[in-house]
Amino acid sequence: MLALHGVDIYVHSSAVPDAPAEVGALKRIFISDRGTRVQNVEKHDSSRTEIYCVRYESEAEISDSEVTGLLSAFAEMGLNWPKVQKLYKYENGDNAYSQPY
Amino acid sequence: MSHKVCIIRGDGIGPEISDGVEKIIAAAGVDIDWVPLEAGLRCVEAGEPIVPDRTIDTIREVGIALKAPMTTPIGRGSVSPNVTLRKRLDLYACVRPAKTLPGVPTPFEGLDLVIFRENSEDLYTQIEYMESENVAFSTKFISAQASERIARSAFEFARKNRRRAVTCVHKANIMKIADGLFLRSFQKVAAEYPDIETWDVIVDALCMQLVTKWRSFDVLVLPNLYGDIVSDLCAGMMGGLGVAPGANYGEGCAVFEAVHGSAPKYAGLDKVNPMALLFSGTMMLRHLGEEQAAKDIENATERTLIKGVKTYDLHGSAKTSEFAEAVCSELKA
Repeated sequence: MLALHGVDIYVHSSAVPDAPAEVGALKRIFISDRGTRVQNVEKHDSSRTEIYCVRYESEAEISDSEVTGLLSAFAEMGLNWPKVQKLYKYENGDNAYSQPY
Repeated sequence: MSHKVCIIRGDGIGPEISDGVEKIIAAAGVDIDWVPLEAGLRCVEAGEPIVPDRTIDTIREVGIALKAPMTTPIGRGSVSPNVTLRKRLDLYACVRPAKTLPGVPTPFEGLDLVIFRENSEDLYTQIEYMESENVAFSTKFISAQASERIARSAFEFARKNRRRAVTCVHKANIMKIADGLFLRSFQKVAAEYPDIETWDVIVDALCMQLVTKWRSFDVLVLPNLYGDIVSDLCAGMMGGLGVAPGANYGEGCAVFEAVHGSAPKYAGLDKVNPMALLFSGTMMLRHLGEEQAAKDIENATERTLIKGVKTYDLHGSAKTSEFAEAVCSELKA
């Protein structure tokens, strides 16, 4: 069985979005562009697109209501999110999703 | 004039072929101040990232590097040092010339094309998710920005090198949205270059046409995945990965590399062909403005091959070091 532990929210923005650091049990892990971290990276040569991925994870398993709560927070902040992707872990605790560079 | 160039000698057979290439470049009279950097398996074994930050920072500062093959450790969580360099330095254009060489037997006589592979996105963003126990999604990410950027690189190259035609390779008949955007971006840029012929071809048709009428093609522009596959096909057509050079260009820096692997089973045997790294080195020399030295090395290599001095992959018996010495002798003759 896969267990829900997080969410990737894709944001349409002209710059690295000012996404909330934490909403409920979900903590922001990174912001990436095309699979490469762009936030808190001292030097980054990558050109940017206009679609950023903001990853949130929780230590404990979460439910859909926590995901919708996070999306509501994004809406309140005026962040435009064209796509949402749930993040699951395998039974052994390994991530069932890729990591950025 | 001395040039400062970073060098990653890699692992496996990397150090052997690097040694030969450095000697040949010196024999061609180019004074290079090599800056040795570490990346690859040795870094992982030492508990460091596969490409340490100091390696990235130094390449960024110097602006140019020659890279021998490195081993990607196998296993969950392992990352490729090559992909790491491309991503961290935004080396968006992978350029792979494919040209038949005298003394290298191949059925594809007259092959002479240059591949421009988009290097920063497509399925190589490696954004993947399990959606359920039994279904995985992998993200094909195509942007107009990156597609126009690689198309413009190809057209600029074609214009500068008096190439006849640029062909966009895609699968927009099936992936109408993503590959459709790649094709539209190409067509938008192509309109700025009316002096150059432009075509587009579906990738599967291209593969068939490459082996039946290879002389029809000149410069090819492809998204990342098709570029990866077609560039190796073309390497095989020119005689194998042992002779196929490659370069990765970004806005601020360029990394020149042999496209083959580190062949650990041949490490230390002084056996493998250094030509792929050597021709990557001549691409590097041209980037440095050393056109004559690049030509001299290519001519010396061709004379060496014609004389029958070849490594095992080309059915010869020369060792790596013997081949390098023979090219050096030709340069001095």
